[in-house]
Amino acid sequence: MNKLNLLFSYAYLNGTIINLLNNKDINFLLDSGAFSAWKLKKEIKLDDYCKFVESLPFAPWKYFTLDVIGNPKETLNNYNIMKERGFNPIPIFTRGEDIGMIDEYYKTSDIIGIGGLVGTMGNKGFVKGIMKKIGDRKCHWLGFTNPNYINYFKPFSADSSSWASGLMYGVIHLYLGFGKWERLTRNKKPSARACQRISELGFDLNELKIREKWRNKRANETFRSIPMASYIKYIQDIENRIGTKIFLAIADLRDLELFIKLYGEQNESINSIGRIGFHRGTLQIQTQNGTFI
Amino acid sequence: MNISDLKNAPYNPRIITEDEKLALSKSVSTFGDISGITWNKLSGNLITGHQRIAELKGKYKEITFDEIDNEHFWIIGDGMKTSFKIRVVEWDDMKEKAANIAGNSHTMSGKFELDLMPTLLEEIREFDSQIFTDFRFDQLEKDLGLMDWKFDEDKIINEDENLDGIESMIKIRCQQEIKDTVKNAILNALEGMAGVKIE
Repeated sequence: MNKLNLLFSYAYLNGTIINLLNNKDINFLLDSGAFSAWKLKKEIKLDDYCKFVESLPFAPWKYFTLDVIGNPKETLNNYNIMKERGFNPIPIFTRGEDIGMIDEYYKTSDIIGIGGLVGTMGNKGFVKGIMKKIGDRKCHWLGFTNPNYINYFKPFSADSSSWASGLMYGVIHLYLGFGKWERLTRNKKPSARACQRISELGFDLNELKIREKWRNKRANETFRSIPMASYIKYIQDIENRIGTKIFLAIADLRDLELFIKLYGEQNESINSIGRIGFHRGTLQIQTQNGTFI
Repeated sequence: MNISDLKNAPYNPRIITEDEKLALSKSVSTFGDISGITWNKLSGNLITGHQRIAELKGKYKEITFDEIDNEHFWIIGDGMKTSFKIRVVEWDDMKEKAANIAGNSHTMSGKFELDLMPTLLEEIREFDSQIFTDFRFDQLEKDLGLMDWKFDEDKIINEDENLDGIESMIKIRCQQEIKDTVKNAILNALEGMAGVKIE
């Protein structure tokens, strides 16, 4: 099983979270959190961000430069300062920046981040345009994981927070495998395949039948766990099939703990699941501890 | 032959849940092995193996039996021993019916592990595509939804390419009666400005 790819913003990190991220099974991608801070109208100081990167007790998989939303010049300036100070962040090319900067960034980094793709007009056309320029070089799409585009352009990596989006709208996104998803809602009976997948993921189907639980679904561990476990599986499939690493963006300790637990369960279940079969006309059942009945 | 010789196939794509395993375990302890052809001597009914017997009846002109022990007989087709044997039981009516259902029930037979199937089926298809269609593995592939990875390249091909910056939209609200005046003032002020669209 591939490692669990997680993206955390600097703004949301604390000692407990950092300790949990220091895990051999996790690829931890550090984001400056500039986008979240921009939405909250807060400012992240470059010096604080640099000190934080230095203070980490382990090296993250990679980390981004401190981008400045809507200000390509400042973003570039931050990148240059970080490089001068001995850091090796992923530079971020933001929509609106001089296209010539793509080649400039690749002179100092083997991978660049492409920003300004989340919910902006013409973002798909921009991805198409920019990927023509980037070609086979490594890039990370910030917040853009459209599967058609991922499959077509095969970027090195991308990140997404959409695992959490369904619950806000009363929907549980269940990954059925092979790129197919099913939306579970309170009033719709899940398909037979969805029932099998829920059971394979280790959840109790009966819990979804209890109407009261849908009212408080965001607080309910099963309801949160199904999309989380689904996305863990989905990003594994994408990486195995296409090669792109998708990082799941998370923002708090509770979600991190749950992701680690669910990833551990999926990792373990590959080798320990009970199996049944016929061998030369003899029925064999192997239990989870490897014995036969 | 030792029990240790019976290795689990590493590619075996069958999995079973705890509930199914429990039910199967109960079935095994109640009915024994009903995975083959089972016949109830008391009623004269087959319990399991209806299709196999029909197949053998079609294949051979004469079918006879060769006793292995009190409970098991080899099936002889046109004087030759087949690979099939029949188990003979003496059960009451309800046990016979319950065994008939248990022997065919998906609730205790396990399922295909969906993640392992594509590779396995692909291997078989490459080895012998005739086997693939003869055994309806193509239908199985469809039934299990193993053909679902679908990417729409046309959506990308048809998308208008751009290298533009991020567009922002400004909405202006005003009183209805001065709407046209405001609109004209804006159009005049912004006329010819690059990168500005007024909708």
